[in-house]
Amino acid sequence: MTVRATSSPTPVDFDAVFDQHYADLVRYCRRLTGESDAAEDIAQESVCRLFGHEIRAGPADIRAWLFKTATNLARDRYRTTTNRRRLLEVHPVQPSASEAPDRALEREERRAGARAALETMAPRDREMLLMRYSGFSYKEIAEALGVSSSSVGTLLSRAERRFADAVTGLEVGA
Amino acid sequence: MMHVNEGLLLALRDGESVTEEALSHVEMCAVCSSGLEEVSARAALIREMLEEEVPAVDLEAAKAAVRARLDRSRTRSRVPFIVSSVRRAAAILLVAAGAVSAFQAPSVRSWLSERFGDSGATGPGAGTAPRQSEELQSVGIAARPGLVIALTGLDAGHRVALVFEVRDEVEVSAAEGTRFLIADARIDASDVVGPVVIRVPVGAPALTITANGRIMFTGTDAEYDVDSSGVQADGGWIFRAPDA
Repeated sequence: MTVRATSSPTPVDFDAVFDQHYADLVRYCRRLTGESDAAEDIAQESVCRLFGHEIRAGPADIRAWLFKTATNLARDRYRTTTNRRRLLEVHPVQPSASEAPDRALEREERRAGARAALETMAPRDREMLLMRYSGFSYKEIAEALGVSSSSVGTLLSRAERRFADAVTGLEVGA
Repeated sequence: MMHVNEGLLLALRDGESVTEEALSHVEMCAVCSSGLEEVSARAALIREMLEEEVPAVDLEAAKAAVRARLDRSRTRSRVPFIVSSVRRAAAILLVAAGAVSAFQAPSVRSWLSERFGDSGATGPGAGTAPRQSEELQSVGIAARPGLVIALTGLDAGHRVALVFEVRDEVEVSAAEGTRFLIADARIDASDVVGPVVIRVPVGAPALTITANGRIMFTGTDAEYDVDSSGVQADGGWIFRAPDA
């Protein structure tokens, strides 16, 4: 049995949360859902949950908490939305004016391939991969996804292989 | 030493802590060094694949949108999602009739504060309430889908408080003497002493709380089904345990 003392809360500043975490959170949500609108919605809802209970103090690691909440919200949305747009149907990002069209096309094809590959993965594999490539430590990933820290390396390895296999499979099938 | 597994190679690649033995082995072993290069190349490829051009985020617009959402959520009374309207009616009637006068406090926290320090508490469960000088035991577990908190051996009417707050993990507290058992996605509390306080992170995945085998609560802070004994207060719920 673990007996632990309550950790001291950390002050939460509304503007600081946005300045420090919001853009990364939207990026993560966009990778997770493949949809820009959904990503903004989930990111905003996550921040709302942080402040929604009029609590003047927050978790020790606000970034991890926000990403974990966003992951849960994305899962719920994935489960409940019946007419979810497929990832491949996401409107492509328009190339910038300074970018050569062929290079922009190649980059967009690569992104579409990545989105399609992510779509084929199990939710936990996808979340693990995206959290790692959003800069989370193994400990943070373990806490967010409810797995042991010692198993993250092995699970992440499997997720990476599945992603790579899915990308290859899609390229072969194209 | 045998070759290190790929999970360990990833940990090494990602700057996580690994044993000195594993590190030395990878440095000396051609197979493992090659493996490390391979997983590093794979990481570079994945990073490139995942490179995402996110449209510029308008922070001010996002702040305004969140403030508007917060204003909306604070001005409207929260309507719980309760599968059974009969249960909802029962809960409302309980409050209206004042049948649970001890629950009239507007806040779960104030109830907790009062209960845990109040020697004059009355009603089932209150007689065993821990005083401020008594030790509370708390067990914590990461919030995860399908988490079950099972409380057994409670007297009928024993109080169980559920609090949603911004925190990192689910925590169950009761007075010393309560027996806790933690499994992968389950906390069992038996021989419970004093009121039980369950603290759940806002935004956590759905969980289920049972008392003496009956489901008291199942769902999240935003969408849930509650037992008819549940009384909603600011910040959470307070339940009474059924007969064992």
